[in-house]
Amino acid sequence: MKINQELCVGCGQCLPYCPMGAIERRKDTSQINWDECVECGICIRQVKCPVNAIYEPKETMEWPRSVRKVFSDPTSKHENTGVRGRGTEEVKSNDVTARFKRGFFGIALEFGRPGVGTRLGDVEVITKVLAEEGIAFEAANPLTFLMEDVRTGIIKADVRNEKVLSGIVEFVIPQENLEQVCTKIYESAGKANCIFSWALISRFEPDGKLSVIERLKKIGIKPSRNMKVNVGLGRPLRED
Amino acid sequence: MTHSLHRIGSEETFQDDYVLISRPAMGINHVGCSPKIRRTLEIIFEEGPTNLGSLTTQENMTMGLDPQKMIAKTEDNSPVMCCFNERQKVVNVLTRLKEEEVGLSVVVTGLIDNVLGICQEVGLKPHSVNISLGVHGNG
Repeated sequence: MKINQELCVGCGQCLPYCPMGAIERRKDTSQINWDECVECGICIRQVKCPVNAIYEPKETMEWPRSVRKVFSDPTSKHENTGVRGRGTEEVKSNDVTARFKRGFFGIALEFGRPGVGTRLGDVEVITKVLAEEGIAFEAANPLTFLMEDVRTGIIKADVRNEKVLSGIVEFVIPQENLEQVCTKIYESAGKANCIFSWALISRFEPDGKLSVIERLKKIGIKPSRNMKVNVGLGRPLRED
Repeated sequence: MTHSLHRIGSEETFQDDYVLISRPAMGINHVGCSPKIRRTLEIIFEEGPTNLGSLTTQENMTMGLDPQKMIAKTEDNSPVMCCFNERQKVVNVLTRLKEEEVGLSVVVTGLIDNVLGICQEVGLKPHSVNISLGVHGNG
């Protein structure tokens, strides 16, 4: 995004709306820090600029800057997923897709958050470790699409410095690999240059139990009790 | 842009705090599903959510979202996203979605014992769960 410096009256009304704090006040006008802007579009959608000075320049949609919008603007859809936002439908429609089956766990690592964001290259600290473990990254995920080689977890050079609000790494592991993979992520977490949230998707067992909770506790990971439950209303229902 | 799963707080603060999301599965049951999304929205508005947001109209209830206008603009891939601060309202919404066999997927985020209790009361068999393993790294 940019602010037309000829139109801007420097009222500063737009400053509080930017989740990245990328709008800076100059002597007589406000200006968007081009390197820090993640192209989330909140300024242009929500700010009632009195002179309509905020605009989306054509460079926003030019490669490689265009990836910023895909990962940061919740209203934009990625061509791989058809889903608005950075990830996939994960657990939300698992009763219909059966993407996460019994005997397997889904893992999602979301790098960056509103307020801090992430450079796409920063995710490599974890993706390289995961690649060494033989992890197969989710093919439909937008971040996998930006890997130079999914066998190494290395991000393409031309997008490494692009800043986004957040990006999600997704993959599935056999249940017997839980302790090994989670320990690797846990050990590597301190080396990450940005913050990331970590989530695990599991099927309920036929008796309704979640034995994964006790397994995680045994390796020192205490899951939150606030959980997102797919209640099984989707049709056609797929058990596996 | 953040999501409901990684919210941090004491269990007391989550006691009457439920996030409900409903959506079709892209490529499986999304084609022609907008009537189901509209019906889901109607049921939710009748029960009275604490808030509901729309990616389509770029509004939420605190900004004066008009339910009828929003429902009219529903598309086949429009997700339904709302929150409730009363357990009974969640029970009512899920009961009606089940009885009417609407058929869209629904996730409810909240304290696991509370959500499982709601499922038991409604007669639902929970399918899968997304579990937060915390926030890590350096920011």
